[in-house]
Amino acid sequence: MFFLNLVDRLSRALAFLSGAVIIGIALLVASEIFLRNIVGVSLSFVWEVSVYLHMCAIFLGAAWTLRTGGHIRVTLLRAVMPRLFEWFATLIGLVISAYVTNALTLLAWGYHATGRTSGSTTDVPLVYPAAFIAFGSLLLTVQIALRLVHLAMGRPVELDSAREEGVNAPIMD
Amino acid sequence: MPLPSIVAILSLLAILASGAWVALGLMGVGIFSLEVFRTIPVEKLLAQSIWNGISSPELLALPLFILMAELLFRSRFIDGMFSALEPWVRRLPGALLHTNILACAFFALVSGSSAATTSSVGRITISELDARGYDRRLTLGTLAGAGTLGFLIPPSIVMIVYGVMSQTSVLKLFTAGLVPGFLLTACFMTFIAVLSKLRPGIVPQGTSDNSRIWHERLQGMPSLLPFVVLIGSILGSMYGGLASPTEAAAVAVIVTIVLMALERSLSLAVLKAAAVGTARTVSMLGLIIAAASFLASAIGFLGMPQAVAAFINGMNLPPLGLIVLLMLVYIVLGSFLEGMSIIVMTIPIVMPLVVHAGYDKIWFGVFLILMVELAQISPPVGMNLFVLQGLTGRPLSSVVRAAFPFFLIMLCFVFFLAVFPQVVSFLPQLL
Repeated sequence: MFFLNLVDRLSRALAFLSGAVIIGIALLVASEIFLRNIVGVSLSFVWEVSVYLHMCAIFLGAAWTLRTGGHIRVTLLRAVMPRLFEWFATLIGLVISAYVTNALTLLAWGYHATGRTSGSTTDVPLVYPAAFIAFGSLLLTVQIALRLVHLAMGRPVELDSAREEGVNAPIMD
Repeated sequence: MPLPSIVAILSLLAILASGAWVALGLMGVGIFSLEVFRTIPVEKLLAQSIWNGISSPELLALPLFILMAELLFRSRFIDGMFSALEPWVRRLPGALLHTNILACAFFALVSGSSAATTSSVGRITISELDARGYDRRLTLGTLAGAGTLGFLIPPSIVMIVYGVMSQTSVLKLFTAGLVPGFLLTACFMTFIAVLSKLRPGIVPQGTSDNSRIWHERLQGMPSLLPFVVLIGSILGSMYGGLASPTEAAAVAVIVTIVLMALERSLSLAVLKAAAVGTARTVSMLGLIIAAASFLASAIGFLGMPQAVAAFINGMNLPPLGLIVLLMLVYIVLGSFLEGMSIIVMTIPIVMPLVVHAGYDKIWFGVFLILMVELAQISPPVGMNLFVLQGLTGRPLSSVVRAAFPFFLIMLCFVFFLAVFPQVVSFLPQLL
C-alpha cells in the first residue's frame, strides 16, 4: 500500500511540475517577445529550451494522466466483459510501455555515452531532456503495472481527476 | 494489398478494440509489424521517431493554447456573453437560439477546443434558454453543431497537430479556417431562421420591448471586452506580423491571466488546477503525436502508403469520388474513434492520395478538421455529445437526435468545400 501511495504521489507531483513547466514556457516565450520588440534584445536560447521543456512535460505528466483516466482509449467492448477487458488492455499496455521505456532509456544512455549536444549556440547536452523523458516513461510503465495490482485487489483502477483537482475542463476529452 | 499492410491494419483494429491506450496501441502496432516483417533496429527507430515527433518548435503552440483553454474554462468571461448578445439577435427569426451559435463562434476565436467551447457556452446558455421556454432539442442541437467550431475557427488545437504532422504552415491553416468557420456559422443561423419561419412554435412567442434595444446593445458591450482584447491579442499579433502562432499563444496566455486577475477569477487554486489539467491534456496529446510519428515511419518501412495508393488508384475514382469515399471512411471511423486519433492515424496514408487528386495540403487540413468535427457529434463516441449529456443529464440518444440536423448541415458543407476548394484556399494564398 505504501508503495502504491508513493507512486501516486510522485505521479501527481510530476504532473504538477509538468503544468508548471508549461506555464514557464509561456512566460519564457512572452518575455522573449517583449525583450525583442521593446528592448531590442533577443534571447536565442528560449526556443530551444522551450522545446526540450515541452518534451519533458509530455512524459512527466504521463503517469498521472493514466492514473486519472486521461489517456484516451476505445472502450466500446468494455460493457461485454469489464474485468477481462481491463486485464487484457492493461497487460497489452504494460508490454508496449515497457518496450518504449527500454528504447527511450537506451536513447538517453546513448546521448550520455557519446556526450551529444544540440549543436546550436545553446549547446544543450541531449542527455538531460532524454533522461527526463525516459524517467517519465518508466513511471508510466510502473503505473500500468500497479494497475494490475489494483485490479487484483479489486480496487478502482482510476482516480477521479475532478475529485483530485477540482472541476475538469473538457479540452480534448 | 501486400501481407504486411493487411496485417498492420488488422492488428491496429484489434489493438484499439482491446482497449489499450491509443498512444501505446499505435506504438504497439508499429513495433509488432516491424519486428515481424522487417529486420531493422526497431528500438532505435522508435526512440528517434518519438524524439523527432515531439521536438518540432511549431508544436510549442499546442501546450500554450491548451493552457489558455484551461484558463478560459475557469474564467467568468463567458458569463456576460448571453445578455450581451441577446439584444442583437432578439429580432431575428429564431431569436435567442442564435446566441448559442454566436457565442460558440466568439468563444472559438479564443479557444482551440470544441469540447471546451460546447461546455463553456452550454453551461451559461442552456439554463437561460430553458427558462425562456425554448425547444430543448434545438438548444442542444445548436450547441452540439456550433460547439464544433472550436476546432475550425482559429486558434485550433487540432490544426496545430495537423500542421506539425503534415509539415504545413500553422498560420496558413488558421487563416484557411476563418472563411469556412464563419460560413458554417452562417449556415447554422440560416437553418434556425428558416426552421423558425416554417415552424413558429419552436420559438416562444413573447412580446419583447424593443424600444430601448440600442441602449441594451451598447450596455452589453463591456461584457464582450475580454473577448475583444483576447481576439485582438491572438489574431492581431499573428496577422500584424508581430508573432508566430506559438508567440501569439504565449501572449494570449499572459493576457488571459491578467484579465482573470482583473475580474478576480484568478487564484492559486485555479492556476494549480489549470496547470494539472494542462499537463493531462498535453501528455495525452503529446504521446499520441509521438506514437503517430513512429507509426508513420513504420508504415513507410512497410510500404503501406504506396500499397493503399495503388489500391485506390485501381478504383479509377474522379477527385470528387475520392473525397466522397474518404467522407464515408471518416464518418465510420468517427463513430467509434476520437478525432485526434483519426487524424494522426490517417494523415500518412490519406494525404498523398488527396494531394495527388489535385487538392492542396491546406484544403485537406480543413477537410480533415470538418470530418473530426463530425466525429465529435456522431454516436456512439462523440465528445461534444458526451459534454452535452453531462451538462443536461439527458440520455445520449436524445442528444444525438438533437445534433443530427447539424450533422447533416456540416456534411453538406464539406461537400460544398470539395466542389469549391477555393473557398478554403483563397485567403491563405493572400498571406
